[in-house]
Amino acid sequence: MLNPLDQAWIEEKEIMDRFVFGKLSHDEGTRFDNLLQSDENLRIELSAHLVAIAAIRENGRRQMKARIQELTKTKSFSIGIYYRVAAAIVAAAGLSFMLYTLNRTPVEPIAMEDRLPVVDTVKSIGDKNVAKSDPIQDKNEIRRTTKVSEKKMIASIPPGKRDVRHAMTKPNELTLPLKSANASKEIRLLFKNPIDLTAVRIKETQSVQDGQLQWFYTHYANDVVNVYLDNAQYYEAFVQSELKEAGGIVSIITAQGTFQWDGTSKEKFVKATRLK
Amino acid sequence: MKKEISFENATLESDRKLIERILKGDESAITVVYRNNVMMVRKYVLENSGTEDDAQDMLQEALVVLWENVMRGEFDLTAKISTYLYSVVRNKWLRDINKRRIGKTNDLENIDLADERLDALKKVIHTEEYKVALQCIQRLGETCRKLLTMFYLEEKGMEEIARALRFNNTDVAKAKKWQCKKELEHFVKKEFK
Repeated sequence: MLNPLDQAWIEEKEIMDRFVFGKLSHDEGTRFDNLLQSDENLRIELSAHLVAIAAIRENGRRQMKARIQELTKTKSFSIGIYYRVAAAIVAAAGLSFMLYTLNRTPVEPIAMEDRLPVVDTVKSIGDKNVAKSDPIQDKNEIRRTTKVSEKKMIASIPPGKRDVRHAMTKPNELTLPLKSANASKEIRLLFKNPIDLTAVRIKETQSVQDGQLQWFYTHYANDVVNVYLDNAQYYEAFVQSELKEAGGIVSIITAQGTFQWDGTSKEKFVKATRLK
Repeated sequence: MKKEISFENATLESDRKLIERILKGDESAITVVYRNNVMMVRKYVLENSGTEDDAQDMLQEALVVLWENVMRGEFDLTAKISTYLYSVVRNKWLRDINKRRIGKTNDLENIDLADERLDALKKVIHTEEYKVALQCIQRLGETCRKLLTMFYLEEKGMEEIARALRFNNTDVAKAKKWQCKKELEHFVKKEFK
């Protein structure tokens, strides 16, 4: 049983709390240890105190975690949406590319025996002599006509519109209105990792509109690396910025100041993009 | 003439502002930290045999650890938030994987990362009393729960607590804290009678 003096000392000096937080002085610690060794009730009291504190702390963490779950619930959903939208864009881009390739592919050669009757038939149509064609020629005509229609449909898309897919800002991609006086000039810049920035030589640029770079990607070690940024704070920092490169040093001039970094370090790039 | 600043410094500066916002209780700052790091954590967890849910869980727990350390004033402002979160996630995830492999499922021990320095507290989390106490906390009033959390988890001083919870002075806050803790201990004892 503690004497009243020790009891008062423990309560007034909040010895138990300070013991838990490791804030007892050497003398206080020694005195408290001695009391613990000699008094079982104090040990029981300390044990109850520790249980209460551990539970309070754990409860606080759980509450915080629940709050974070709540706060990020819509964000997670948004990210899911982003992925779906990105997947849709990729699918659309793939389809566009397929159609574009189809457009570029020379028309499948037609066998000589097929070709002549078709030409004859077309001429015949022009001459209004349709009745001259036989059933086999009619069959060929249908097939040929289908091919022409498909080609016309693709060719009807103005060349300039083919890059529309690149101009679409994907979720998590950074749109940098970088002034590019010379479109053929290689620019060093890459945003890949949500944490970091690094530099790389851009081999290809896409969707240069009105002298401004809307979206681009680069090749690195046989990988296509999208230039994007899913970090709103960086987006805010770099939107409306101007890019300059001189002597291997890349500068982004923003309203807040000039950001510079070495664009030649492969290690930095590999680290930031996690590409091997 | 525009000022030359490195990207590293710019990141640390924006991190510092986020930390200040968290300290002031601005919840949107946590959302920003989440958004800034979700891709990184997701990539790490998925590349290490985890699922989308695991990634979410890891990041949320790492954010709790970050929040806890910020509130205690123990977050090192020379470190980038992303670097800190990455190391927390990595440690947690490796430990989690290890537990799954050996079939040990002690969630409480897993969660209690921030208490590593407090050996005494670590010992009690395996007790039955602790589990009961966790349930009994819900019986306390809102003010008691808030006060005890601020003092024992966020390790706020009595002056700040008195101000935040609108007590007349620190003595009132101290008395209330003692009363709340005793009430909790009483609930726990009652469960074991």
